[in-house]
Amino acid sequence: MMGENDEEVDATVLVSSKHRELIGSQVLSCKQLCDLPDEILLRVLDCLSTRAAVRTSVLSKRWRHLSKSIPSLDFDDENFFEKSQFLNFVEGALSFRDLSPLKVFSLSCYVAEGESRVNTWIDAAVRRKVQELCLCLVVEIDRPVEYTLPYGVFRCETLVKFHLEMFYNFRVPSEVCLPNLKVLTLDFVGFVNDISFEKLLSCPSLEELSLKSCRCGQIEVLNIGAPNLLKLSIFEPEFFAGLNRHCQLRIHGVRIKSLRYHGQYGGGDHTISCPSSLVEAVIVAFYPAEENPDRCADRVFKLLKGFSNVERLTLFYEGLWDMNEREDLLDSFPVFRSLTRLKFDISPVYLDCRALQVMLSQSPCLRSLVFARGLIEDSEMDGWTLDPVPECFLSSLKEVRICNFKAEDFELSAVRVLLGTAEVLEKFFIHCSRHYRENFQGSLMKHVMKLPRASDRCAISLEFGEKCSGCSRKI
Amino acid sequence: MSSSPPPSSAAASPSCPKKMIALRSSDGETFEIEEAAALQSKTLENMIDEDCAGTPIPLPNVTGKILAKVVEFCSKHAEPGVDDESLRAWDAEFVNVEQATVFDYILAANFLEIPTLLNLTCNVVADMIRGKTPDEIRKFFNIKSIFSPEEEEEVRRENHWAFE
Repeated sequence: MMGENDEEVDATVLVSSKHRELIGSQVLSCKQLCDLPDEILLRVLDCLSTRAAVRTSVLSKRWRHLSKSIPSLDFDDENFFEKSQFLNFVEGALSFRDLSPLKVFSLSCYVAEGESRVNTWIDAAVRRKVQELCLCLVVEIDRPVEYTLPYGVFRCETLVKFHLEMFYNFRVPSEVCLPNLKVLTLDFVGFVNDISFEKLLSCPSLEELSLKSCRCGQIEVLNIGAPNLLKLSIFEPEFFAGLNRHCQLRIHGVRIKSLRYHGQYGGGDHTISCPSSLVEAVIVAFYPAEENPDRCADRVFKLLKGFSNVERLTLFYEGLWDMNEREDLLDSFPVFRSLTRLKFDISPVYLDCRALQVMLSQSPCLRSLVFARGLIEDSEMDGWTLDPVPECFLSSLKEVRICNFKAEDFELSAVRVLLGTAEVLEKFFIHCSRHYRENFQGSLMKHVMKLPRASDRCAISLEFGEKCSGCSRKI
Repeated sequence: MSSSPPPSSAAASPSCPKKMIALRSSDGETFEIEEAAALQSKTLENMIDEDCAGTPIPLPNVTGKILAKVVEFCSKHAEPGVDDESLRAWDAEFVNVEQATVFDYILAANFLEIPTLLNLTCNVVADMIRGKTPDEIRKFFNIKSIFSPEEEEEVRRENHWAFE
């Protein structure tokens, strides 16, 4: 067909960015499934289980051809009654499928001792230029040692996402070359003290890293060297000594934006050093029971100092109050220059706690303050209030949210203090716990509305019911 | 009683009016869509210039009937403050149409590169396939199968493991 200037134009869809014109061939419409192009039918097949997708091979010649190049393979031995059925299925699927690139390969199964077949399957995925590899392997070995994944995995150029869940130690080969790996999640994996493990954590394209319940007991310094890392998540359940108590976490990438740490921060010199690019941090740190308050105060101070550049901080650390008696620390408390959103997940937060007041005073740009598990004022003084009032209360604090509100006297007093001191407040949300009626009769809304407000623009909302819309938590 | 706070990256500040984009279908109908909604389409995103006047973007591959629905979908998905559950219910209603219309939605979503609509519609078709026997699938979609007896035998051998 002819274009605007009488030149020969290919009768396919063209976009001329200059003129924003689309020169299409014909209206896209079809009445029958088989009129859809191959790429779309493959997408549809991708929405089906591997078994259902492969079964379409009997429909017609075209479907037979399509089913041989389905984009994803998903094998889960839980879907099979017998092991032999599962083995037959996987082997059948792998020999059936052609060598066209594989988008996703997902395998979840028990691995019997000496089983090399699983590694053959993983190799088959790597050979097909797999982009997303998801392995959940339970290794049935009497004496838990190491499981060796095929080395091809660590040299797979096409790999973009890798999820490994394997409750055994595994060794990373010395040659690690994963130039396109963007997302790495490791669950329950045990690492031997090994330089190669750090190579894995230093992949050049790595953007998201998640270590969940991983055991790296011997490692003294965990270097997370990925230069382009944006998100880091470390999760250790309570009482689970995953990382060595004295382990130092060093994040080298200067582009990191988000950090989630959930674990036993507080053993020895467990440091997390973060670059200033960090925007968001969620810290859930369990109080090490046997430590003395002074050491805890030092530690939480160090922790907060490390995160003083963030914009959004969520904090669960019961030992915050250990700083109350430490004038030296309170006097040199860091300024949270960029902090706009602060959320406390501690149960409950004491408004009359000095450390909290200092922290609020050192957060000049704070816009949103959330007390996800309640807020109380325990001064036992009539008419107690914040003195001095933190700067942000006078200039920037626009939103306060209190969850799990039980309407006890000391909670109502805390509400009174906030309403009475926050001069530019626009929204005050209270999510009431189911049990608030045990403490308060009459209209709670009326009571709260009567409290003197420092801000004339402040709208008060009460929310009831199990789910708190703000923190998606069931009370 | 209380609504969730608006997302921190709102599409337009309250003082400026929302930017509208005009789209023209194959049969000459014009549709207006908010910029935030139009950005759901990667194709449109690439074509929206900052400084261009509001001349309609011609989409000769999409009819007015379908384009109207696509605009509706994108606008709904760009609405702030809609919770997941009601959005899902709305989506289910949106695709509660006859087969041929679903296919037209797929083609439009594919052409305009709207991932949410494409995923939704492909899943609808997958739902139609799931749970049916091969014969039922052929009947439902009017698939003509022309396997010779040898070919049929070969196919059976090839994937017997999928039917065990």
